[in-house]
This record gives sequence, structure tokens and C-alpha cells, in this order.
Amino acid sequence: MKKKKCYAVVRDGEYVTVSLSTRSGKKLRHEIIYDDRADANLDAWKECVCIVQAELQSGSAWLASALPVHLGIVRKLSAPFPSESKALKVFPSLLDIDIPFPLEQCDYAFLQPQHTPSGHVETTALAVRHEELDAFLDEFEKLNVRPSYVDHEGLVLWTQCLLEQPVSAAGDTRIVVWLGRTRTIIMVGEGRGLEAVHSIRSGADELASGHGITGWARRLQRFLKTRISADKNTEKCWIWAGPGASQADLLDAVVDAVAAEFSPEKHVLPEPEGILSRGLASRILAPARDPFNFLSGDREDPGMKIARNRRNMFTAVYFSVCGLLLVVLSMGFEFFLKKQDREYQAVIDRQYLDIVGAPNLQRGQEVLLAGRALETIQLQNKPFIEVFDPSLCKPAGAFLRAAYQQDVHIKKFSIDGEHIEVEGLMPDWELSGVLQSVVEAEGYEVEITKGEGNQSRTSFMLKATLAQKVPLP
Amino acid sequence: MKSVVKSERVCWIIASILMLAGTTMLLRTVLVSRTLIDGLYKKHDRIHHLALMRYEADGLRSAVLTLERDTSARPTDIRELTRTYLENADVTSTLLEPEATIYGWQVQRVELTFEQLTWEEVSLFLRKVEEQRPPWRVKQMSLTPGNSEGLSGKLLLHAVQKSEI
Repeated sequence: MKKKKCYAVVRDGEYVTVSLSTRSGKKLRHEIIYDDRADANLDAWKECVCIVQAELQSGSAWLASALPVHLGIVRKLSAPFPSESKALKVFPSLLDIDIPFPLEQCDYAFLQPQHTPSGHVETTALAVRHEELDAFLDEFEKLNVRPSYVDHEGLVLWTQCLLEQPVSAAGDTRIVVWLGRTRTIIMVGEGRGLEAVHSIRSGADELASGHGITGWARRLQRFLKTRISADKNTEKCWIWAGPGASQADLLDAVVDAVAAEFSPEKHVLPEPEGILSRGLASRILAPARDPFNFLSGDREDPGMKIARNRRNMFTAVYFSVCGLLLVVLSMGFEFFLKKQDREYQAVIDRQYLDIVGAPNLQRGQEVLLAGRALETIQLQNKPFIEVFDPSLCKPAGAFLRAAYQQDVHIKKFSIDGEHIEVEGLMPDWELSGVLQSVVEAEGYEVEITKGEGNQSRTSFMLKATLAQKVPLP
Repeated sequence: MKSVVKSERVCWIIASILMLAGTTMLLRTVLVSRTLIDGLYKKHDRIHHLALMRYEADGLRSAVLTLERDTSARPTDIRELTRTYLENADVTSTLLEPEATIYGWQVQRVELTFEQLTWEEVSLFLRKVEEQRPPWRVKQMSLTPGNSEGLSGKLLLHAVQKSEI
């Protein structure tokens, strides 16, 4: 069963924001259910925790949180060959060189590798030290909840900005500034790709009081200078989000502070304070998305394990059913063919028995044997068939009458079942045509030959063969 | 959790076995059914040929059945017929050895030699003997002109009859 609810817990210093996102079809509905310090309103906080715990225990919702940027490491890695599988093998080594502590002490992962036009394979690596992640999870233990997903703040914010404010051109530089209450996150990327993430430990609360805004702006500019050109003519898209972005005065102040080096736009996303919660929920609940999760192996949420196990079981059952179906269909089809074969053989045996009068003992030879039997039947039954043949008197009478009328003298006349033979004398050879047509009309093929004869008469010999025996009615 | 993992593994083993069995059966069926379908086509042709043969055999047998049903199974004595229809004619009849045919039947054969008969007399006689049940049938006939107006000739007549068992 796919869960349709997700609680997102966002920690910003002492502040905790708990939001509930619900998926209905393709749409997501977000609702903030707690947004304050955990100890500010104990009753409301306890009630909120109870609701979340109940939902998590019933297995109807996920709990997601994002690892703060300052705890994790984001690195862009590039392997100098086109094979993705080879690149995946060398990425850990490249990451190990690039980070200030041994890779064995980290939980790390690589996002979907991309092929570059130069034939390299690029990826974004995310890493966090074991102790940092454990400390982050301990904070949740204190709140009596355990997250199912721990995503990366920078990744969540960047992808949600892309979703809410799609890039206009593939190569444009985009700067996203999330102004939290106690900290600021700055992200820089080109097109859809996230290049670098930075965190400043000053947020809206401190900046709104007017203190530290210059230092904040200096740190932000320093980071940006290392990543992008300060040229004011270069096309840059600035996006402001976070709780601080909803305060117009504060936003004006920070934009003015940065304006000395850059000329930022004041483009603020709608409902900027909830972007992190929305991002977390979107990455988990939206069907087409693939969430990133630092919690794997021993740290994996038991609920996740059960859900995955159920999915695997379902897949296994699905394959079992398919296999079973294949067996049944194959056997069924073979059975059907064999049954059909038996039925055909039964018809053949019956017909053979009817023709031959004995059971069929030589399968496959039925036509040959029945043909021989039929020949025997034809021979044996010939006298009976001949009973129904036309009488020989008819052709004999027809010929003899015609001969008498034409004054033909018959010397010898003989007829049997298939032949007529006549010898005689005719007054004129032209009469041969008349005699021929009379015999032909009775169904015979006629050959008439002229003999020597005498002065007044011509001798002839007629031989006729029955052209076709009249078939049985 | 361990039991869940174990049951998942069992499920996958069963799925693998069933898929393997299904694929094997499918391949086997493809191979076997080709032979079976070829055999069915051949048998279909055989049925068609045998049906035609049976039709012909039934036709041949129906002639016997007709005689079995309709006749007394013994042809009328040819001498008697000769006396009746060729009253004063000079006719010699010779009974020939009967021929064997299907079980329970034989072919009665007789040779008639005559002289000084007109064709009208001969044809009337033949019509009358062929009207008998079972009929006498002319198998051969040879005619030569006699000394005067009449014809001389020889007739070979056949008739089927039930043999005496």
C-alpha cells in the first residue's frame, strides 16, 4: 500500500515546524500543524507529537526531515570516461579525496549520474559523518519520533524551487537564498544542476534586529564570488525563500546589503516559509519522484523495511502467479491440442471402420489401407452395381435401327459392357457419319474405318468404347 | 524482522521455481504444439479423404442393400423365361459355372444361342428378363445375320443370387 500522508519536521535552531502533506490524485495539500519553539507551547506540542506518533504507528504516514546543510557535504564529481558503471566505481575514491575526513566515517550517496557533452560522467555526491547523523537523529529521539526519510536540505530546496519556478534557459545561473529564522542557506546552480550549497549561521531573527547584516552580506558575497562571476551583465536568477523572505522590510534590507557586489532581484516564491516542508513531502509523495534518504542499512526505518519487504513480497507473488499462469496455460494448450488430436483420430477410426469393416491397427496408413479396401469393394460389388447400369439393349437397339433405316448390312455386331464392334456394308461412305453420331449419342467414343467393299457397297468397321461410365445415383 | 526476510526469501524461491517451470513449460509447449498442429492438419486431410471414400463405399454397398431388401434373392429360371417370351424360337441355353462375389451371394451365368430371330423379338426378350427381380443383365451380345431375314446370335446373361449356405 502506498502511503498518502507525510509529516515533515523542519528544525531551524530551536524552532520546529511540523507540517502534514496529503496526496490526493496528483495534487498535494500542505498544512502546517505546529510552528514554534518546542517548549513554547507544551500542550500544543505534545498534542502534535501524539498525532504524529499515532499516524506513524498505524503505518499510514511517513515522517521526513532534512539534514541541515552545515552537517552534510555536497560535492560535484566528474569521472573522465563515458561508462556509467565504471564512473560509479571511481566516485567513492574521488569523494574520499575531496572531503576533509575519511570516507569510512561517512554515510554517502551519489545522485543519478549524468553524461556531459565532453563525454564525462558527472554526479552530485552527498555525505555526512556518522556521528553528525547520529546526533541529528538523537534530536528526534528526544522528540519521541523517528523519521523514515532524512533528505538533504540543499537538495530538497533546490528541487522544490525548480518545481515551483522552472528554469527559463538551460544555462542560466540560479541563486536560491533560504532565509531561515536562525540560519541562511545559499544554493548556486546552472540550469537544473545544483553546483554548490553554503550555510550561514545568521538568520531572519538576527538580521531583523539590524545586527550582523553587513557580516551576513559579506559572507554571502564571499561564497558567491568563489562560485559565480560578479559581472552584473551575466544573467542570474535570484530566488528568495524561507520564513525571512516573507518579511518585506527584512528582504529589502538584505537585498540592499548584497547589492554592492551583485544586483539581486527580489523574486520571492509563494508561501516562502513552507518551501522546505513542501519540498520534503513532494520528494516522497509525488509518484514520479525518487527521494534521497540518508537512512539506510542499520539506520533504516523499520516501517520502510516492512514496506519494502511487502513490495518485494508482492513482486514475488506476482512472478509466482505469472509462472503458475504460464504452466497452466502451457499445459492447457497442450491438453487442448491432444484432445483435438484424439477426437480427430476417433473420427478417422470410425470412418476407417465404416469403409474397411475392421478396426484401424495401422495408424497413419488409414487412407492407403482404406483405398485398397475400397478397390476390393468395387471389384466385389461390381455385379450389384451393374444391375443399375443402363441396359446394353439401348445402344444396340439405337444402332441396329439406324442401320436398318440407312440400308446398312450388318455382317457382325457385338457389344459388351464397354465396347461395340460392328462389321458391315453401307451403300455410301457418307452414311458413316450418321452411324457414328448415333453411337456417340449413346456415350461412346467411336472409330470407324473404311474397308474395300464391292462396286455398290462400302465395307466398314466400327469400334466404339464407352467414354464414361454413368455414376451411381 | 528476520522471519519477514525469511518469508520474503521463500517467496522469491517459489517465484523463481514457478517462473522457471512456466518458462520451461512454455518452451516445451511451443516445440510440442508445432508437431501436434502439423499432425492435426494431416489428420484433417485424412478425414476429408476418408469421408469421400466412405461416401463411395456407402454407394457401393447400397446396391447390395437394395437387392437384399427388394428381391426374392433368386433370379427367375432363364429356361422358363425363354419358353414364355421366345415361344417357338430355336434357343439353346447353357448354364455356366456361377462366379463368386461378396459373402452370401454369387453370380449366376447363362449363355443363350439363338437363330432366326428379329431384333424386335430379341429386344423384347431382353427387356423382359431385365425387368425380373433380381434382374438378368446382358453382359455380352453378338449378332450375325441369319440365312433369311432373322438374326443369329449369342447372349451372355448374368444375375446375382443368394448362395445356398
